[in-house]
Amino acid sequence: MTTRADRVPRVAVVFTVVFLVLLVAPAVGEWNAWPFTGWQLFSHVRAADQSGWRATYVDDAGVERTIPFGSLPRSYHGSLGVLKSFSSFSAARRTAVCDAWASALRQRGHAVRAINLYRTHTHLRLGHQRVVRTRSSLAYSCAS
Amino acid sequence: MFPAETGRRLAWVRAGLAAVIGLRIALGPYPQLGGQPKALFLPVSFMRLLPAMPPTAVIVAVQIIGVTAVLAVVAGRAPRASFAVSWAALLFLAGLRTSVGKILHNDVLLLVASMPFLLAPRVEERDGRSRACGWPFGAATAAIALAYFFSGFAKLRHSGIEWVTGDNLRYVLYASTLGSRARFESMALFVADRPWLAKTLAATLLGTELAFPIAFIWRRSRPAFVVLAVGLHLGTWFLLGLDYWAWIAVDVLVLVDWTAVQRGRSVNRATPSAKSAAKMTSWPRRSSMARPASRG
Repeated sequence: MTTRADRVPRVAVVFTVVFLVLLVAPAVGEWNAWPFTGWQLFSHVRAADQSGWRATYVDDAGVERTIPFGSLPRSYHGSLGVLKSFSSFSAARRTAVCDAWASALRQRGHAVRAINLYRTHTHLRLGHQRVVRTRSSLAYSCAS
Repeated sequence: MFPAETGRRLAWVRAGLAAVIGLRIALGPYPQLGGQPKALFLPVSFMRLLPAMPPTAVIVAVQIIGVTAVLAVVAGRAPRASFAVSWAALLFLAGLRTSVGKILHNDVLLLVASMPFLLAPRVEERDGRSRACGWPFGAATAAIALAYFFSGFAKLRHSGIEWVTGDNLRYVLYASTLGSRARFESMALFVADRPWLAKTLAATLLGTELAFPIAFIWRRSRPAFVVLAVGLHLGTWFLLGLDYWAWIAVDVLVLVDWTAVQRGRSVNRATPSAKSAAKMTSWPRRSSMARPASRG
C-alpha cells in the first residue's frame, strides 16, 4: 500500500517531466541552451586536413609573431571563438577586438603595429615521422 | 523513475554535491575573467542578459557567497536554501567562463545533475525510505545517463562509425601533443602510434557512452558504469589534458549508494548478535518510516 510519505510530490513529477524535455530537446535539436547543450564533445571526426585560425601581431621592427594568448589573462583565452565569429562582427567591433588584443600585448611589453588574422589549413601525417604542414591565408588585418 | 531512498542518503549526496560545487567555485579561474574588454564577450544562453563581463569584484563576491553557502550545506544549516545559493553561484560563474568563446562542458553535468536536488524535500527522517526523498536520485540518474548517451549519439550523428573505425582518435591525440595539452605526451603518442589501440579505446569510449542508459534501468550495473566513466575521464585528462573531474565526482556521488556501503561495513564489523539484529530490522526500513525521526 502506498503511504502518504511514499507519494512523489506533484511538483517533483512536473519538474522531472520539464527537466527531461530540457535535456532531450537541445540534444536532439542541437540547440545550445547552456547548461542544456547538444553534448557535442569531440563529436566531429578529425582528419589529416584541418582548418583553423591564427592571430599574429606585427612589432615595430616589422616582425610578425603569433599572439601568445596562453600568456594573456584568462578572459582572452577564448580567441578561437572570437576568431570564428570575427566575420559576423561589425566593423566597429572588429576594431575593438584588435585594439583589445593589442592593448593586452602592450601591457606585457610587446610593441604592436598591426594585428593580422589568418585562416589556416593544416595537414597532419600519421606515424612516428609526424609531419605538419600549415598553409595560411590572410583574412583580416587591423592597423593598431 | 522515482525510487525510494533514505533521508540519510539524500542529505549525504546533497552535501557531497555542494562540496564539489564549492571546490569548483573556489578553484576556478573566475577572477581572471574580470576586466575583459566588452568586444571579447561572447555570452551564451541566459548570459546574454549581461551587457559585458562583470568586474572582478563582482565575480569574487559571487565566489565568496557561493563558498559560504556550501559551508552552510555541509554544516547542515538551512541546507535546501544554501544548496540553491551555491548552485546559482556556480551557474553564474561557469556561465561567465563559457562566455569567453568556447562552450564548456566541465561543469555542465554537475549543474544539471544537481538541479533535482534543488527541489528535494527537507530531511526529517534519516533512516526511513520514501519516494519523496528518492525522486531526485531518479531524475539525476536519468540526467547522467542522458548526458553520456547524447555525447555518444552526437558522435554517431556527426561522424558515423568512422569515429571508431577511422583514424579520428589518432589525429585528436596527435593534435593534443602539438598543442601541448596532453598531460603525458608520451602516453598520447604511445596510443596514437598504435592504430589498433586507438580504435579499441575509441570503441570503448563510444560504447560506454551509448550504453549508459543501462545504468538508469538496471541499478546493479551502476558501479560498473562508474568505473568505466572514471576510466574515460582519467584517460581524457592524461591523453588530452581536459579536466572533467567534476563529472567523476557526480557519477561517484549519485550512482553509488555510499550510505548502503557504510551500513554494510558497520554490520560486518559488528558482533554476530548485532548482525542478526540488523538483518531483522533491515526489511521494515524499505517499506516504512518506522524508525524515530532525527534532524537532517
